[in-house]
Amino acid sequence: MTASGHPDRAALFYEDPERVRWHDQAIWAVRQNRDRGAAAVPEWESLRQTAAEIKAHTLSRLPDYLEEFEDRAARLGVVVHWASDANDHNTIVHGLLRDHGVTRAVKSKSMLSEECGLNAFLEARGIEVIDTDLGERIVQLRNEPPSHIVMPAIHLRREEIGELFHREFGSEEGLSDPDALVEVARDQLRRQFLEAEAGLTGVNFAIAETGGLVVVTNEGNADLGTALPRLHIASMGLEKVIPRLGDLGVFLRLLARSATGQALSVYTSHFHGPAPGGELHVVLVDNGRSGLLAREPMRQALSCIRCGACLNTCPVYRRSGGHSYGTPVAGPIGAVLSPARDIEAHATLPKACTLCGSCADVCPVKIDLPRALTVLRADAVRAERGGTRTRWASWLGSQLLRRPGWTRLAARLGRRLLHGVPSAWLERDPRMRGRVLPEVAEKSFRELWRERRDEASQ
Amino acid sequence: MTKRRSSRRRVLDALRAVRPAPTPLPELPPAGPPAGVAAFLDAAERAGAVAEVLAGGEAGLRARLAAYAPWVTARRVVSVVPGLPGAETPGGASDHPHTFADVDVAVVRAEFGVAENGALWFGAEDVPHRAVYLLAQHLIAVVPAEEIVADLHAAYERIGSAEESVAAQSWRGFIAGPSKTADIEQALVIGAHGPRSLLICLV
Repeated sequence: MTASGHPDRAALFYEDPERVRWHDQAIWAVRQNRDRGAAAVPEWESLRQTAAEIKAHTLSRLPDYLEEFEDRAARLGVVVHWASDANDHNTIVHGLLRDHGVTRAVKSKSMLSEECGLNAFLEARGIEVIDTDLGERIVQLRNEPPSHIVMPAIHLRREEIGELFHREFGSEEGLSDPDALVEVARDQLRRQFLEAEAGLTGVNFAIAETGGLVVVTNEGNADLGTALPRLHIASMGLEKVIPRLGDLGVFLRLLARSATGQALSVYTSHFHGPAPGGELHVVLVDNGRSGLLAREPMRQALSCIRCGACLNTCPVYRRSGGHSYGTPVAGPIGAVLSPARDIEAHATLPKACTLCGSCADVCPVKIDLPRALTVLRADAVRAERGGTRTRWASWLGSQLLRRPGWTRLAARLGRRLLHGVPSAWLERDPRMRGRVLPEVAEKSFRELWRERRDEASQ
Repeated sequence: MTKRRSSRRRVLDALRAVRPAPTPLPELPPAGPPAGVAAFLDAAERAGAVAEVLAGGEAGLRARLAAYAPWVTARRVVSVVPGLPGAETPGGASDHPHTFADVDVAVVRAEFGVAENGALWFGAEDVPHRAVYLLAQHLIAVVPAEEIVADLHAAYERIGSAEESVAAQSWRGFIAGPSKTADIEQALVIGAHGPRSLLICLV
């Protein structure tokens, strides 16, 4: 267990138990909204199946669909760029902004830009980037990463946002009413939109058949951010391509319902070519995705449509907060995406899971997250340097469980010894903090069964 | 340029090296049975819009607007529907989109509505800049009452048809309700960056 592992970062979140309780409940409410949204669609399960099959098919022919998309988009006047890693992506975006003399850009939510560290890259080169999604703007002003892919500032209370706005924007001190706070942000960001020289966005779907891009928001920030400046740069992971326009019917019916319970997000924009007099650039980014494609079940993580349902349902995420993962995407999907690329750096993430399986049940594209997490746990043990404890414990366990007599003996020993284990010793593992061992039964099930049988036969 | 080309090659080669076993592309689900105007009105209200069926054509629309608070108090109104008192017709595409920054109310036309989610489908054809949909403090959308489709499958059958040719315009999109956010403690606030209200008039 390294000092920067998930349990240690989760322990930081736990320093404020009231916040943990609130976070858990607030996010559970979103999960319940998702349930109502899903229940409103009788064919929900067959939609999920179709969505999973469309994604699996697309991944099986990814280079073909990307080339088809590139060809169609180019015919509409879109400039298509390819980036093999984060640095490539950042360099392309910076080059475009520099060549257009841009010093101020507005950006709508893009997990890819978080993954690539785009803001820091551009700021180091003298270009100001304003995040325009309200939650993203809040965490940007606090100089911290988002803690949720759909609700970036869900770890913060309204009073903290009021203080932040007072400090940054000079709004009234002690303001905590969400309506009033949104009004302050609306006013501030409206100015940024009007002054921006370029609009940066992510991409929810890229349509191979038409060369179009689809971007979804509730706030309207991606639309406003691209409707005013002449330059629009859209960054997308390779896996965002879908074969047909009609596939959108399947994914959009699932996306917002899975995310927030809404039947559809407020703005679903379809961009086909640049606006008259403007420029549209799209950057296709690999950054480890081709590696993910190579291996099942991790490949399935490339089907993700970033709805956040697995985060909202996850008992670990809800109680440990998004920052405990230390990755651009938190929760079960993040605990697959990051370790699948670099298990050593993220060895604790596959263990930040109870294997309850709820994430797989709510996933709109049926990613088998529990199986991927289980496989990655095995990877983590193999990658553990010098950390032979887990390996020895697993070896011992497998030896015992193969021999019923030994298992019985070990269980009997355990029943005697567990009584005396000091809790301070257990709590050396941060995951045991705040927990108590259940009372150990005097007799095993086997012994009880034998006694009852003997009583019955007397 | 060589850099760009080499990245492209590198990415495509990496993908081709690991191509998984092929799986079939499934058929798209069929569109749901036709839904009535009532279902659309319900869904639009759930999305935070005010949605009404107006009788009497443009006279009916004028009468409704005269009683609609954002319209009555507006200082600057732009409308693509002609003949509305006090409204200016948005200028040509040569106008800078920023000229719409102080619009209080915009009246626009939607092509059709979707009963399952209350969304309206817009094309930027009649407005000179799509910024109008977003900069206006309040949006009023006029849509023919007979143009309601059941669900998104039906919507995309229509959008994807040859006559519609989705790619012919640089922007088209669904708008479902006024702009909103729940980024502060999950409290729903209407009026994030775009319009603070949406009035849908089925005519």
